[in-house]
Amino acid sequence: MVYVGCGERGNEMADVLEEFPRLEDPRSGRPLLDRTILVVNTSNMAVAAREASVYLGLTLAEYYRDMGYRVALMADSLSRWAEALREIGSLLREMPGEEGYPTALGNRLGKLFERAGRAVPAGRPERDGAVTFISALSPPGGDFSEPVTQAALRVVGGLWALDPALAHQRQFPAVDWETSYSLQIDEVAGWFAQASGADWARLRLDTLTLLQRDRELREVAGLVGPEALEDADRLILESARLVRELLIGQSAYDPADDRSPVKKTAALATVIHEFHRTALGTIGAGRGLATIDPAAARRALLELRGIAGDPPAEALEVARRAAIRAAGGSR
Amino acid sequence: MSGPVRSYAGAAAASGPLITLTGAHRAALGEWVALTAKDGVARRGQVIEVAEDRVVIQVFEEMVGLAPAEARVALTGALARATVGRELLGRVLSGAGLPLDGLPPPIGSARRPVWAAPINPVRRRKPREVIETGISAVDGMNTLVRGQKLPIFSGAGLPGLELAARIVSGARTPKDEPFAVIFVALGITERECRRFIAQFEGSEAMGRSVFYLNRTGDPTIERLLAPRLALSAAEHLAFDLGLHVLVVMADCTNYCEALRELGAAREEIPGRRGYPGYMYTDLATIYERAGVLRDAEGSITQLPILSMPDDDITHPIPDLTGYITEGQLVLSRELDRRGIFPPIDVLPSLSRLMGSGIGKGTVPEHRLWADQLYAVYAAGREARFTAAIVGESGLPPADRRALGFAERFEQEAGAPGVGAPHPRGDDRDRVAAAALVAEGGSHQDPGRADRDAQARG
Repeated sequence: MVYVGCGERGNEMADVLEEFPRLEDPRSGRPLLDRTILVVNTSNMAVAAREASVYLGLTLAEYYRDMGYRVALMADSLSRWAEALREIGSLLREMPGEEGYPTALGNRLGKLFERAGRAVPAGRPERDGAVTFISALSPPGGDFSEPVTQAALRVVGGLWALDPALAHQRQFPAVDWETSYSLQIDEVAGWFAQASGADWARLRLDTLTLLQRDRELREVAGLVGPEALEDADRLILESARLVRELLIGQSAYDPADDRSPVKKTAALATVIHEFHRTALGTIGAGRGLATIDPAAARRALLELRGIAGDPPAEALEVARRAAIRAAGGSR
Repeated sequence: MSGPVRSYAGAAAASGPLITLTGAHRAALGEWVALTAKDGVARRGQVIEVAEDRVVIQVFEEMVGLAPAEARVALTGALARATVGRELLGRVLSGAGLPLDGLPPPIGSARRPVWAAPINPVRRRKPREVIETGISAVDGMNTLVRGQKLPIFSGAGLPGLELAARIVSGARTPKDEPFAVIFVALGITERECRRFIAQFEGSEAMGRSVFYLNRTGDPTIERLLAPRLALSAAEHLAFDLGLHVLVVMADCTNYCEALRELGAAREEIPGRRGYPGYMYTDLATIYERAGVLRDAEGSITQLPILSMPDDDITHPIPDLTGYITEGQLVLSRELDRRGIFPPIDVLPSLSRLMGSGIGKGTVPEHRLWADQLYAVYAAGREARFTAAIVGESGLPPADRRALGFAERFEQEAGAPGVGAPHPRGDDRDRVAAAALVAEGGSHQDPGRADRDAQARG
């Protein structure tokens, strides 16, 4: 691992420097720092050093990649790096481009990102290594239309967009499911299906559809009040709430929940969708929303989520049955 | 650096805060300059540009009345230095470090470079000791930690300085060591200065404070020097003498305007809104001088105050500041209009170091409670929007409760009213009380808040 703190706060770097030696490598049980390089650049250091720090991290990562390692490179943050380009450009009295950034910004950023990837180095023994480049961007005022974000989005393979509104609701991690995307979904679909033992692609699609409907309905509900919605729509609000709070919302402070293995994520999604489908049937059969008990489904899901590691098949079955009962199903 | 003093008779040109010298030898960037006008008035400056045939000097004092051709310019061969030492405590100085209190200039125990080298991050210690301020919106929701830099984002007419004064006078740490306070006035009015200092006068706190005052009428470019002088003094107090230092700077917006003025005088290509492109780095060289070291006792905590022009948090000044500092306390005009003090809007406010301080330093449930208050308050604010359209009676019961909570939270959990005696209940009481309000006042079952918060994940 290579971690580049580019234009970071000194106190945060002190935090990283204190925490990393304490973090345990889940594979070897030794401190994670044993296979980590930290490149530390604080915001008050020389501006040219800030520009260089990211290149230094990349070159280090490529060196290990060529030895056949899979390297994760974290750069926090590329916005600070772009600011350095802007400062240097202005000191050189270059004609500024958009918002004062050099006109070559898009080009420079593209070349930076393209250094990530899998590579088969020349020579023997045969080996292949990879550099995975995870970088942070901090658009001013959360405005994604600013030049650095826009230039980055043209070349990156995925985006995790953090949304302050979600953070306000204490929805963590505050990754906005609407703006975030990955261009690698198809490549990794097979792996996820195998690792989860479930129809991962279907679960993913169902979850996204539910969340999308939820956002539309909440806008309407914001105007007319949720009481005015039809039962089926109100059910979507309830089910989506389960998704938001129990499936994609995780507590970093809960040892059983800070990391959700693929199997557990799939199990939670399965139970929620089973609940939702059954409840739709209940409503379709003319029985009202009052016969459905989302709180019971929530309890079953909490039980399942509280299991550390992969949940056993029996636990999944218990949760499934409870969710179906909560949805007014017969089984 | 140190070298011989070179004196020159007459400068070539002067414009704005800059004078240009030709034929000077071996001038160094940052070199300190002493200027004497024909009438004997002394001014001080600094070399900011060295070219083959000319040297550009920025002058910290007012330039009106200076005839460059008749001035004597001495390149001192040294970098700018600040007088530091324990004896500065209790003094009132100008933004250039000269006495304003009628006493002789401080001799100090050392002279330190004003432009300090960045602290090596490996030498830093992670800040983790909580500073109790007595303001619930800070202690409960945006906890201040020793070594942090936490700016107050204020606006024209909002009580940013009053809040800073309240924090300074109420600041208490677990071991109850007193703070040394360094106040830097940057282009604020005489009235604001007086009001801030008034609360120290006559109290023992005066004896552990240093004031660097550059008021609205004082030279603009001096504002670039004042915070650095103050921080050099603070570093000596904290890292050599082991004191805990709180540095209050107001108003950093004026600092940025001085920077812009200088940039314009140098005919630099302006960045956003005319501010120089290097403003981020420049601000970082001030704000990053906060922290705690591994091998030193003391600490520097910064409370910069800046006013957001037009209350716009995306303006370059608050925007760039937020990238350097560890969070911000945002004041709300709406809360202020309703007579709530301090009018801290907790939703956009943030303390990035809160997590490392709370829990052990306060109460184990602190994070859980703060998150819950935050979530219910955010829901209440959203419900207030909806209620404006459909009416309060049109809200579902949960939203109605959240709305009721938001109202009470703003009134009660904020802080004691202006002028009220400072209650010294500990964090536990205050946060617990607020958490119970969030629960609709179920005083009999304090465990319920925890369980619900867990259910919410």
